[in-house]
Amino acid sequence: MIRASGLTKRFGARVALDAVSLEVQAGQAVAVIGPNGSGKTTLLRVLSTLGRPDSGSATVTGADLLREPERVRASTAVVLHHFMVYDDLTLEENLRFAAALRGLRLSDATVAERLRVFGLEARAHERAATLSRGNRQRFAITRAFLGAPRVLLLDEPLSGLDEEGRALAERAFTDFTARGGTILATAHRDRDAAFCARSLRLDRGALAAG
Amino acid sequence: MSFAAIVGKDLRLEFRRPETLLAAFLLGLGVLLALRLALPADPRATGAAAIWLALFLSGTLVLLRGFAREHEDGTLDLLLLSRASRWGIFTAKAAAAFVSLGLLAAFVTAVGVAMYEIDLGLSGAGLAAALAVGLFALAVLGTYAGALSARARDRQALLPAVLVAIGLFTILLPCVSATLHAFFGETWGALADLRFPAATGLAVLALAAVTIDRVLEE
Repeated sequence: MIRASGLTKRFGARVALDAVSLEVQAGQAVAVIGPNGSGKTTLLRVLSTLGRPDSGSATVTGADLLREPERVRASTAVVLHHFMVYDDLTLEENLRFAAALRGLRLSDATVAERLRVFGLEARAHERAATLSRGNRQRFAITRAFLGAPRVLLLDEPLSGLDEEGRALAERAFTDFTARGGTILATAHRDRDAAFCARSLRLDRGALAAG
Repeated sequence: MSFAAIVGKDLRLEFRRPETLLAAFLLGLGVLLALRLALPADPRATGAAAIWLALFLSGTLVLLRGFAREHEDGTLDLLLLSRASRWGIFTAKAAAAFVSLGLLAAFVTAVGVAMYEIDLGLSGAGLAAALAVGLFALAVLGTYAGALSARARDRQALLPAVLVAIGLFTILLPCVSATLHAFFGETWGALADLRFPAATGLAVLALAAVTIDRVLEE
């Protein structure tokens, strides 16, 4: 589960997060809806330990964000705007590398099985540079499920996906929460957060229950 | 596992797209040629200076790629989100840089030794020590400068500036002197000169151990 209290983050004079407090229970998917620049990405970066809050506190699966960042990272997977893939590595190499970073060694069968879930198995030996934006997003979501994370932080996870990709992703997210996983996702509009049971509104860094 | 994975990934990318390494080889060759033609003095003296100048300049190209490649699709975040510590990421990238610089040094040194007709029988041990210590210091300093500039807007300019500002007197000149001693068969003299680059490499390593969490923070 995710618990945040008074999270504040500034970039110079600009307040990106203004005392954000929220709670997401295990088995729940919650969406943070807001326009561009409202602080959605900053919130996910802070909760994933990529950004450090100026004040406030948070725990992810019981681990404190500032005191136990390694524990937070061990239980969390993140899908961000950029796809975090190496263009000159093949999809298989990218997946194996990401797995190794999580302490996993994948068998050939596991690689094929993982890529098959999002229809990427035929592209396994192609360099990531050849992938479309939608397929990169499919790959980023595939990678997020490596190592059985307990929490998914998803920054506009359906963006760039075609109808089939959206359906596959939504089913994967729904299955994940059904197994007890926790999701905090961002979106511009409610339609892109249909897999979430609850939504919150974020505007100019401040949160209000929707 | 993360350490080996990052080293392996960096080296695989280096060879998957070898333009940078090839450009470094060409730059090294160009510097050697230019100095050979411009400075017709004692071949051992100019040879030592030419080899290290070529290595320093062409090595900068290799070092520039270290953290720069982590910006192409936000992959620095992938590393930072992994179970590897920031220190682990730093040391893995420094180790990969050391291997790449080693390949470059093998080429530049072989060409330099042939071009200046240097007798390696007399100077092999001292030269090997100078290369090992000098490249260690260069890899560590270059990787740290790369990490420092990872979040900087003008990162392409920052790294060479840091390398020259710090490395000129603490790595380049002592390594030239050590190599010169080696070429004259004075192995102990070479080792004495290597105190400076060794100390620089260790000092930057210690600095990185203390500061790398902050350096890579957003």
